[in-house]
Amino acid sequence: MALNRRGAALLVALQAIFLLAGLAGMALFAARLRWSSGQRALAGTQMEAAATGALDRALARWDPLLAESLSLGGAAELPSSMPWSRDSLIRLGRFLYVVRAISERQGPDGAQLARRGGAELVRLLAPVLPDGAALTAVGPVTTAPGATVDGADHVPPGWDADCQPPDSGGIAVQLDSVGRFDRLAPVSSGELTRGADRQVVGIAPNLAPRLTPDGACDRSAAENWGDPDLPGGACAGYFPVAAAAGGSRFGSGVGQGILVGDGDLELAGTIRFYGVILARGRLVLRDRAHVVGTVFADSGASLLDQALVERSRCAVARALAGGARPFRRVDRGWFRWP
Amino acid sequence: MPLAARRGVALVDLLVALTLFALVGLIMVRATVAAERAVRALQGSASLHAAFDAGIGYLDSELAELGAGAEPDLFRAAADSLSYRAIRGSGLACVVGPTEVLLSIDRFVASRLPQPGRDSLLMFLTADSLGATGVGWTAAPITDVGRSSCRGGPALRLGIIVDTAAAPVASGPALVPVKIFEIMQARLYNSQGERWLGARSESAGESVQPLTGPFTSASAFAYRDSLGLLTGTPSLVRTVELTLAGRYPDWAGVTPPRSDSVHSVLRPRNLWR
Repeated sequence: MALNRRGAALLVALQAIFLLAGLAGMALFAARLRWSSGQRALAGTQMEAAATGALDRALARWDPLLAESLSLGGAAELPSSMPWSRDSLIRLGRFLYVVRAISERQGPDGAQLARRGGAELVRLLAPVLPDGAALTAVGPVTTAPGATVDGADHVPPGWDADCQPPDSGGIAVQLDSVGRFDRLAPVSSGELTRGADRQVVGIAPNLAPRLTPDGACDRSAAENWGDPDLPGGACAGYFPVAAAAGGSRFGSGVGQGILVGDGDLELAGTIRFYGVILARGRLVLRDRAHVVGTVFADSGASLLDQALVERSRCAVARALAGGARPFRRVDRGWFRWP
Repeated sequence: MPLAARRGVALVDLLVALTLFALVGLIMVRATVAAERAVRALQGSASLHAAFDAGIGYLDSELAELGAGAEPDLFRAAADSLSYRAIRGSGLACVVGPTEVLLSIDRFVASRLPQPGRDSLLMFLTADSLGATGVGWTAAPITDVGRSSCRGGPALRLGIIVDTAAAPVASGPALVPVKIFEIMQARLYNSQGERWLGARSESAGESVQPLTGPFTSASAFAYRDSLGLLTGTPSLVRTVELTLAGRYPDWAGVTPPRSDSVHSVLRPRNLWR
């Protein structure tokens, strides 16, 4: 009798253990499913953010030299700061590109957890400016006996391969009634200033081209404003957009591109600049300052000492094309591209 | 121990055991009922939230590429419905002419193949020059779909009708960005006393098909401009807000249904920047 009772208890205990084990197993299975689902959802969100961030980063760190080096329809990989993101740049037209970012994450077993991709249409913009005069000014223009404003079209030394033959027209000084700075199009002066590659406040550094250890143009160096003296060199095609605060002064070195001064601007010493200068305030060129291209001064200009301004359609065209940047997002520019 | 005494003890044992079983059974029934109520409530809540998620996920995906500009992709912004261009594919066209477009297959992604009569094409046809201030995106209805080749690779040939006087087809970039879209309407509508979220293709002339529900009448759309102010003007809309409210039964009608709601702010990337 006593043995039978012990036997029933054992059976009940075993049944209870099996039942509990089954319930625990089901709970573990459900938890495992939820964990996997959560991992995938988390990875999906992370990859979505990674792809979005990669596009924003590619636009913020726009590489004009890489972009210009691509042939129409050509593509190049962009350096990615995240191991799970692959970014690329595709050239669609002369001034039209697509940046594509694909972010992908695998699980510990190598299976794909999530993949997200997006693309952003990029259109390069630059201000459209006339190149018929060496100096266009609103307000008084004073020129010292030793200073020169030359309206003849000049091709900078060594630039012949990239330039049209010089024209026979052109004027030295053109007086305007309305300032150019506040009516730039299709890029506004504000967009130019915000999207500038260089920001100058006060005294500018000595401008000089800089190369990275592997011989590429070092766009990160603040004093590197391209290299107009070495056609075919690594920095020959680099035309930065520079924004100078009112009262800024340039004293030496050589550079090229688009210089936008939000106020008075002074170029002095031995500085040489190739391209376009726009000054909202008064422009002063003194000593042996030398500008090749075109200059717009919205509050008059003074050329002192041996300052020289030479009109160059080629320098203007190259500075505007080389200074084109994605200053503004394209409408409907973002699209899914997994 | 005497035999008679042992029988008496067995009867008492049985009564005690029956009483204990009855007590335990009562407790178990009450616990089971409580657990069942909790499970049903959870199931109802989960089901309602799944309906919320389905509605929000659908609209988030549909509105993701909404664009602004001179001709916005949102056509109608009302409390019970919105009409919009829903992007069904994106890619690069290697040839764009006044009557046909060739899309490189390897540079085209789509949720389905384009359908003539239902879908249209948006083409980025601004002249490829620095100072161009052209039309930007140009829309053209798709008249037929076929196969072709382009630059040595397979291509999708789309017949289109485009106004060449208004769109600079010839001066566009070498590879033209294109998007395929249909005009959709998402709508909160009433059916048999309940509110449902449905959708229909306006360009295909479809009637509304239910997507998810049922919800209550508190469900609605709202729209905000770039300053965060409520607006009903489609061209000013920068964010779309969707409130979904619903009820789920607690316990077979014994107690009143429970209510729940969710408010979601959708920020289409091309509008919100």
